[in-house]
Amino acid sequence: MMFVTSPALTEMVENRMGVYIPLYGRFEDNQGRVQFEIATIELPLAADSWLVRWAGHPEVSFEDLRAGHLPKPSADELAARREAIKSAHEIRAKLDIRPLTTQVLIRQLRDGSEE
Amino acid sequence: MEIIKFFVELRYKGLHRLFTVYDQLYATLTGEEVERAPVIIPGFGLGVKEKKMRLIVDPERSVVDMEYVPNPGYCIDIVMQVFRRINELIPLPPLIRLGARSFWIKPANISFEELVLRYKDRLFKENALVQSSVDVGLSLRSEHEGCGVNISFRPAELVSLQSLLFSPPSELPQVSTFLDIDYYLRTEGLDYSEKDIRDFVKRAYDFAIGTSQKVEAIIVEVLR
Repeated sequence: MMFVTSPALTEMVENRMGVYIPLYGRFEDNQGRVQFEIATIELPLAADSWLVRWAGHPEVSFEDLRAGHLPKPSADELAARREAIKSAHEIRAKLDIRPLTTQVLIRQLRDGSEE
Repeated sequence: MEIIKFFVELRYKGLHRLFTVYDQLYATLTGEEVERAPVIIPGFGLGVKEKKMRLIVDPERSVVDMEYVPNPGYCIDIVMQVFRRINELIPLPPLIRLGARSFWIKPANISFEELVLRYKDRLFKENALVQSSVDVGLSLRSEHEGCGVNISFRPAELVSLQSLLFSPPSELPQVSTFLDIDYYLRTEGLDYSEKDIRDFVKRAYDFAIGTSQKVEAIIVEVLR
């Protein structure tokens, strides 16, 4: 075993890594490396810079989104979606909206009509 | 499959100056380079218990080793933070190898011997060597977007898995398929930016996810 004497290493641990290592914690591991053991370390993540506010889902965090864990829609959200789809169908029926296909576009241009 | 370990290694072309301080001191005081082999101080290891993470900063390489892997973004953030801090202290040398390796498992609800038998039956052509083997595994080499990939998978027992981890979780399965994906870029001496490393790590992780899904599909067939 060996005690660390290099100020560069000490600086890296204590200043750069943001932790204080007591002297007795510094020993070589079995590969000749000077080994330190600590409880935790401050490493800011993107999640610390971003706040997610998902209406109706206050429990969802940035990490959830990043991990692809999306919330299931609530009963209210499902009901609202159904209502929106129903309204869209009704509007389409009332306004007689038909899909504008390439064939329809060509016919309209050729005939000069909008039928 | 479930990821149980992800680690990234930067292997340098020369020695990191952090570890040759005596030679630098000699050169500073005398104005001359040392003529004998450099004096290299020992490497540095930092275990971070709560994050299940290990950092290795050696004269010829640096490694960020994580056994808590919640999502790709977390891993990339951690890796970049660590390398950035080391580089801020004393810049890292050019690289000869950039590697990202991951370990994955798929639990099997059968005995180890039965799993080996099914591997032999479904994945190998019958011959005397396979028949007499007590354990089997597949090792494959591949390429992806200019990077090399070593892929291997095999049946694994609990003890074997535990020996591969520095902080093995208590809920590891008794028997499982173990997958090891080593994704690397080898160069003559790569000068790189932070973005290059970030892109590489992301590409490696995405590739590992895709490969684990393919291997899982194979394992489902093996276990059927």
